[in-house]
Amino acid sequence: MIMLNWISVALAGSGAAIGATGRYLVMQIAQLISHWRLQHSGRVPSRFPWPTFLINVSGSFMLGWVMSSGLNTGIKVLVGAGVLGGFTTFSTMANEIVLLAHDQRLKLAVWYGLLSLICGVLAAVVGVKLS
Amino acid sequence: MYKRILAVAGFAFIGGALREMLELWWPFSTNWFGTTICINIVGAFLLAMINFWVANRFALPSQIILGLGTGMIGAFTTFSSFSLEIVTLLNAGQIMGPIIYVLLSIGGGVLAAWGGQRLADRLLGDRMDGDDNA
Repeated sequence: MIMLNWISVALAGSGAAIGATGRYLVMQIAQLISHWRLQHSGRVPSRFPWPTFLINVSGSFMLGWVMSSGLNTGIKVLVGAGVLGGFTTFSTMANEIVLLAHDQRLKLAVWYGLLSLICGVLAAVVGVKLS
Repeated sequence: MYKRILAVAGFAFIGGALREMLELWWPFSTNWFGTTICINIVGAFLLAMINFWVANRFALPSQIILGLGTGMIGAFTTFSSFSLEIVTLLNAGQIMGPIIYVLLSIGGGVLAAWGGQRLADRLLGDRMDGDDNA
């Protein structure tokens, strides 16, 4: 039993390394795109934290799907708790909300939190149903 | 670039493994749903402290700050389990459970992040004259 638990811990850690790397790359690409758009079309990037939002909503969908699937427990731990747990993040969202509020963008901060919640839960429901 | 990716991945292993240990010790059920909530609140506070205090107070390489924040704490906290646990509570026919879950997670997480950023400002304020209004 204790052995099994340590295997789960190692699987979740390994998956999280993959998921967090994916999240970092998505953030980097999003930054490149908004720089490019600013330079080429003068579009000022939106203050809405789209990268985190899209990561969290898509990750919620995939977790709903994986956890309701017939995959074996090891895969569920590796992909669910690991990859998707590491890909999505709550701490970044909480800090972004505070920074938006701090910059007098209170409405945007509230919208960001509410939309993340609603879309995340809906995405998870759809993932569960499709599984 | 590869150094930064290695830092994110390596520290994320620690964060993800730590989260799984806590989830195994105090597993989620429709009677107990506090583990993920606590992880997310603690992580929101720690991320603020890392990005606003550790990063400014200690002369650490930027990859280490990235690894600790984006990697370790980013992977420690999780939004996907937050969503799925709410769905599970709703599917179990609970009404108060999911409401409490959401209020504690988002209210607690935002308060923790705010507290962390304020505390970081305070701690740095002793060394740098208040840059808050600069």
